[in-house]
Amino acid sequence: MNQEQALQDNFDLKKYDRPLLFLPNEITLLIFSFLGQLDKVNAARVSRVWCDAIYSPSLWHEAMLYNVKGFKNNILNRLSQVEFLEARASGISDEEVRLLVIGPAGKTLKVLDLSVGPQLTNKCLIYIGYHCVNLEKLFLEGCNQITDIQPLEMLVDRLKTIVLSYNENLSNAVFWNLSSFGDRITKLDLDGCPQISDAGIEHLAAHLHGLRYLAIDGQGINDAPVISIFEHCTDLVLFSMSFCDLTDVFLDGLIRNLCPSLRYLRLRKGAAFTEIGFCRLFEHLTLRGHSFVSLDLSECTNVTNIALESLNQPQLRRLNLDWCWNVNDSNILEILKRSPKIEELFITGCNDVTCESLVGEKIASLKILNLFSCRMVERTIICGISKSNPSLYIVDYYGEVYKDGKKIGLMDQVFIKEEKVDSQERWGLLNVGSYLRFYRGNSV
Amino acid sequence: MATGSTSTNISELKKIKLTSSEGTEFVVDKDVGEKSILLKNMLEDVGENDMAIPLPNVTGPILTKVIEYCTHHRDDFFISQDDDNKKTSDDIDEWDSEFCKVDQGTLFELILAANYLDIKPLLDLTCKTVANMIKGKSPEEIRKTFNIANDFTPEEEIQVKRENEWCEER
Amino acid sequence: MASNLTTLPPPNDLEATWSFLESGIDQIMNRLEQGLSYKRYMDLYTGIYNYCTSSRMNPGFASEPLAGPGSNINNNRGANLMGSDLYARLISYLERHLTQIRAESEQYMDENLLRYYTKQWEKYTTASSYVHHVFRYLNRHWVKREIDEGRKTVYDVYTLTLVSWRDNMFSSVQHNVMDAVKMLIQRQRNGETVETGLIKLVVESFVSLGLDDADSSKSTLDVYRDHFEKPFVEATQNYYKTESEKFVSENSVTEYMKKAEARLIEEEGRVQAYLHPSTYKNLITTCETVLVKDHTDIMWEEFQHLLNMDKLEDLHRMYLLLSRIPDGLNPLRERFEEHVRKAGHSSIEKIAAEDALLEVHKKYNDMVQNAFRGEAGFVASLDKACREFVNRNEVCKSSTSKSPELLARFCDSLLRKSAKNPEEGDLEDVLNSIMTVFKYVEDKDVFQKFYSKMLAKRLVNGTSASEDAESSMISKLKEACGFEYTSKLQRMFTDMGLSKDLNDNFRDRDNEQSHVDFSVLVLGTASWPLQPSTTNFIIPEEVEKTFQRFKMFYQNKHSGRKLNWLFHLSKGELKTNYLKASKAGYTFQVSTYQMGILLQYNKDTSYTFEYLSQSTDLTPDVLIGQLGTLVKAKVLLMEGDNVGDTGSRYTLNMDFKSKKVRVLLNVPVKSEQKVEVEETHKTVEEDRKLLMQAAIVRIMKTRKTLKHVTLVQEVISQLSNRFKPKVPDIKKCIDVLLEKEYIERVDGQKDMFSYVA
Repeated sequence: MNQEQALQDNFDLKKYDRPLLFLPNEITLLIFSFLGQLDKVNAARVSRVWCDAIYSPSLWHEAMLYNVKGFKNNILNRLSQVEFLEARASGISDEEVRLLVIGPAGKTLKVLDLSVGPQLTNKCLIYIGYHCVNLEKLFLEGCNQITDIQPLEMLVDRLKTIVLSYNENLSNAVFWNLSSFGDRITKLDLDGCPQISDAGIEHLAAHLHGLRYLAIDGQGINDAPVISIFEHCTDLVLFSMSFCDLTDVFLDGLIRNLCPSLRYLRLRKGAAFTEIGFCRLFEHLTLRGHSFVSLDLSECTNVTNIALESLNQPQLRRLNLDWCWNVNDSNILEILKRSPKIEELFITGCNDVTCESLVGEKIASLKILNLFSCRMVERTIICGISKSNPSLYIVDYYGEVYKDGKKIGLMDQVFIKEEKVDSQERWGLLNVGSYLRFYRGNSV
Repeated sequence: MATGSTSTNISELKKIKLTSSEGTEFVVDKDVGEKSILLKNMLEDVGENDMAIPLPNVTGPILTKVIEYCTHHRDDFFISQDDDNKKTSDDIDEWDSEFCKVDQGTLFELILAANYLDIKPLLDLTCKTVANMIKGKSPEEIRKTFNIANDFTPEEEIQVKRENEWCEER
Repeated sequence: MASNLTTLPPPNDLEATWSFLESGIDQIMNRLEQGLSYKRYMDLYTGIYNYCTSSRMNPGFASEPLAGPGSNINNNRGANLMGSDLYARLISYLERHLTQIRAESEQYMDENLLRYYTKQWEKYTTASSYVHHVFRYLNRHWVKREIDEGRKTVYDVYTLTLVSWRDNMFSSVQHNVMDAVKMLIQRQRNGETVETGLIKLVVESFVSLGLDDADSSKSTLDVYRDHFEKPFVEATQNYYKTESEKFVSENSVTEYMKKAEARLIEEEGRVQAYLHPSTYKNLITTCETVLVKDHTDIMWEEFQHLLNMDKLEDLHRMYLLLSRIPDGLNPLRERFEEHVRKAGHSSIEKIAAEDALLEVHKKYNDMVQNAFRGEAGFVASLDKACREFVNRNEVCKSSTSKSPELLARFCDSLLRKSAKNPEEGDLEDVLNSIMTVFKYVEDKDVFQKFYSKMLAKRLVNGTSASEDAESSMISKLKEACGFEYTSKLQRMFTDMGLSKDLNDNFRDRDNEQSHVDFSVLVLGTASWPLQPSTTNFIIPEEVEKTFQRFKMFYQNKHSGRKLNWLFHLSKGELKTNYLKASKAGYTFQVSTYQMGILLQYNKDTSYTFEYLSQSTDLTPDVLIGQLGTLVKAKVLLMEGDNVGDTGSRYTLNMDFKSKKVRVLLNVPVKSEQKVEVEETHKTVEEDRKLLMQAAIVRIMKTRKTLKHVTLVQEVISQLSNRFKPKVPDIKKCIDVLLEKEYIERVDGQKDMFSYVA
């Protein structure tokens, strides 16, 4: 035991050598690696050794930048091995992006999220293009001043995901630059970019054949170019259009060019689609045995009871029929029975729905039933359904969530307990009422 | 599970002897012992014989715990947790969390033993358990938990706080 | 317990720890065969573990107070880990150890050096994997972190041992090792048995030493490629260059090809036996260059000779060798084509055209299939040559339509009754080979014309040898050219069958009244290529009644149908009872016209030409021809200079004699035949015009408007399985159709036609 005593003395002498006296540093680092960012920040304030240990670069492969206060040289040094940096709405400036990427982080960054950065300009892309040689994903949602992505062409070998959504200044010119990526780009999000027009979409269909994820705004875009997307991008997994101005001609084109990989389809506000068009689509899906995982037809007013009678989707997990007010109660139960894996059914604003048919039914797969703004659904009925399905989250007319017969909060504050954040997605945890749930789990 | 019982039967034929730091001998099934990469490599390199394997860095009581863990997980297929995967400490199952309900000294000794014997799943489990002891606590609470003195000067404290602003939600 | 602790050095004493470790590593490196106890192994591991986890010398943590922002920019590695000292000592140990091994190696050369190198390599790598395991704690933490932080010169321990070998051993001995390897392989090539296991191990070692500088977890083949493959392939090249040049100068080309083939097989085996598979391409390409490509000229030259001598085996070998190199076969294909063409032409000069065609094709088709593996290029060359000599040869210098005529005649000779008819099985083979030649015939329509003409003759004259053979041939033609091509031929068979029924029917009714044997073939004008008679003819009264009764019978049966009588194709038999030479009488087989003449002699025995001309109503030229035959056969005796002269007289020869009872007088007249052939060719031309016009109309009907060039192309492609239309002919047809207003020119557009509905 003498030796042990000696060891102990030694530790006393060098009291501050280790954050945890009895553990070697490699183990302490392992322990710290299981901490989230906030816990790490807290732990850094314990003592000097803790502070230094916490700021080992190997603990900061992932980091979230909340604001740019104190975002100076020594911090940049701590991020010398960062691969995954989220700086959403952090107020980061072009100059700070420059400082970040000219340092060691420029070489290690794989994912960079600069979304909601209205102060960022085209300049920051020049820095990123020159320095972030290993960048795979770039998020620039709501970066309104960014109009020229030409510098990204330097990253053509690695960059696979580009999100440029909610940018009203973005024009078709973006596609002339994107075309140099060819098949290599797999995810492109241009939702909320109203300047994109037919010519741009045609260019996209002609060059970006490797796309697996594509979201566009859709306003003013016609059937033919969108059909040509489906003719050429045969690996599409997800397709989303949030202002769908298309007609039945597109639905027929989709049937003709249906790629087997397509699992997520969102056609919001497709008011020009007809009941017959939907019938045809649903029937063809059944005939081919093609099933989606997520289907969002919100505000497609002609998704009627009759159309839904043809909907048989054995793998469907999420169905969004918000504001499809021709849907009434007579086939809510039928929908769930024909597509028995549905976990989430959104029927916000469907005023004819009473949900009487669901009373007393046990619907094992269903996790969320969103009845926000459905004024015909009575409270007693919600309680009844909730009691016979105790794990089901039900949103009522006022947006309050019921579970196991009890109110548990407002829909934008309730999260599903066992759900985890998919690090592939940039949304964080999603509340039970979020339409973004549509995008969950796609592997792009 | 059928596979579980068969693998047990086969390994009953092969035993290895371990000696703890106090000189106590433990006889364990070979497959249980080989959860330790150290032992597995050594048996491969040196070959098997009747000699006891001395473990000068592990005490009897801790070795007993380690053997309990390895026996419980003998049929698990351990997938090495890559650094690419998001690390989290809230995925501990019930048996494991019960297993870790020990005093801090024992927990640390278990960590050292797992580290020494190179049993990655046990090392991860015990380290996660320590991480959970840090999570959600204030600096002062952490100091108390691990008996650490605050050696920051007040100015330094302010400086650290300022340096952390970039990554704190507000 | 005490003993466990006492053997281990104090954890924070580097010198003590290292000297403890060094003796252990030394044991592993040098005396592993003596074995390693569990305790020794665990002590070594524990010594490293204790050193790395000791808290001494951890200067990285807050050893200096935090100053203002940016103060610790230069030293921001966070928590320090222990291990760099051990790693550095291990490096210098390995260096010392390997220096020793290298020094010892200097006394060896050649095979002994290989033996020493491979033995040391095996020993070293085995020991290294032990050391790697013993140092696992260092690997797991300190090394891993260094690598994560991007330090390129830190490797896991096993890789470190390889790097050390590369830098301290390999780099200085590799030249000598490679020289020894090259020597050994050369000896093997010279036929000696050598220890290839040594080379295999050297390869393995060179491959293992290929470490990717950018990422030490990956390996590359750079070391093997630069230091093994490159010198080895160079040596190979030199070896075979010398060998092949010498061999060629001393042996025949065919012998050389055998040698080259064997060498290539040998080198392929070498890769499999002890080289890295990646060497295959480089080595074999090099061998192919030295052994084949550098000697193509002599092989190409030899090719003609081999063809002339029909050396199939050598041809096959040459094909295999030359097919290995790019463009090696091109000259062969050209020469082969030329050769087949020549062979075709020369054999046509020697023997009957059809046989020549068949024989040449069969011979060279076999050659292509066997010696050249049915390679597409040679098949094309054969086809080209055959097409060439089938359509343009000595026999048909003037026009391409001679060959199909000859082919059709050849068919006729096979299918017509004759003493030389082959056996049924053989016949089928011959017909099949005819079809092979037929494939090459460009003017398939000419063949059809002649074939149907001759078929008609066989049927009308009842000279077809076998109905089965006929229908077999027709179905072959149908297969090759389609239903339309043979529909008329088939219709002819149908008419024959119907006629037989008709005759039976008539005979049943007419039985009693008739005293002559009478039979008639009723043949559809559209399907039968039969010319109407060019002369009038008065039916002899002896058959007149029967003739009239048949006409009545047929009109009753099929009212509205018109019968044209083709007396020039008809025949009959007459029995004599005026000759003393034969009591039983002779039977004359005669044409209907001859019958008309001879029956006159029932009334009188001598007539003038004018009289006969009047009583038969035959035109003079026909009458002259028929009389000529009778005079020549001495049935009639002529008074006068030439048959047909005014006032010439023809008297029945009462002393006619013949050895045979049946006398054939119905022989075709020479001049008739020639006219017929010319006419057939003429009708072909006419038919072609119609076919081209029909095709143009058909195309324009579907396409509505079309450019001149496109139209011509389409016509050619549509008609290609019948004949090869000539562009000027198509143009003429277009003009005709423009005139007839089937099509018109589109206003304002040059060379554009549109269909007139």
